[in-house]
Amino acid sequence: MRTGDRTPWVVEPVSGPRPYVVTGGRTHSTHDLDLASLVKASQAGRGMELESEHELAFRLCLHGPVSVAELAARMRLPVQVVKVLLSDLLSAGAMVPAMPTVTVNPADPEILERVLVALRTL
Amino acid sequence: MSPYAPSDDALTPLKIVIAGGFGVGKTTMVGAVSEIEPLSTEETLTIASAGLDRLDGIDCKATTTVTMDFGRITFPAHGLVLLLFGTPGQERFWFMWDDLAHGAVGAIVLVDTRRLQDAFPAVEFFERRATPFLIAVNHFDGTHRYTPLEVREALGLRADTPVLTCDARSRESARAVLTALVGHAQRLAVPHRPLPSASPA
Repeated sequence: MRTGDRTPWVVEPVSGPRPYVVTGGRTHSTHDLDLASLVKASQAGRGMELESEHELAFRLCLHGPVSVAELAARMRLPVQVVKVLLSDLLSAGAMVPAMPTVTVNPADPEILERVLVALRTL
Repeated sequence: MSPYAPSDDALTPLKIVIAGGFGVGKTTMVGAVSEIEPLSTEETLTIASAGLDRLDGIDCKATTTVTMDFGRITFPAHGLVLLLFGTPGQERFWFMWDDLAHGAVGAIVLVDTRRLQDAFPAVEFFERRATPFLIAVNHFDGTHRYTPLEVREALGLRADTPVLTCDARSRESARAVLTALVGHAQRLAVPHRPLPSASPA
């Protein structure tokens, strides 16, 4: 069990096939992934044999960075389940992070200036 | 720690939340600016025992599923991607989705002046978290148009919280609201200008 101030995720025992079946019952990701984390398929992953859900996630990330939120939507799985699958793929080297290694501060005025400049091109 | 170097097509992802009451136009606004058809992102949340009290004292938890609208705008030349999340309308449990508001640039609270009170929970939520937010009054045809001042007073907003009018169907209008939000977040972020007094999270 992870400790801390986050409410732990639980698996409901009944009410049909649960999405955590695809993670082997695991509910926690080993990588620090957020809704907005971006990942992409790695070159090394192309030669790997992957299980079906991992394979689907991998294929959805072949064409460049994809967010955890978008991957969950396209796979029709809860975000937390996708985080577990992605952790496996990151650990195996089949996927790589596709975002800056330094955590971005969303209140950084310079970042916000970049967003304003970008929005003008929309 | 990740052993990987960032790839050359790495982007900085930034979250923006679009909140408000049921039927106020959140999905419409996500769709108006998103470069993809809005998607549905689902999460399973664990809800503590509030409202589920049991007499036997056993810790009572339940799970609930929360579904958000998701859209994005990629700016490859600027190395950015804006991730847009529209909150569910009648669902109160999204307030427990920490991952959503955590690290967000800010939030747009969409308001229909016929149901101003629907905006109260979102306003309270973002004020408490000190998340930069603004009010965007979505103008529906034929509805009475309150002035921004009337909306501000009715919602009990702080003096520096922007109140705009918009048309959630219009890409240009949605872009203007996004620009106003980011500008507001930037003003709040400028050093030496303290944030409005907010209680610690």
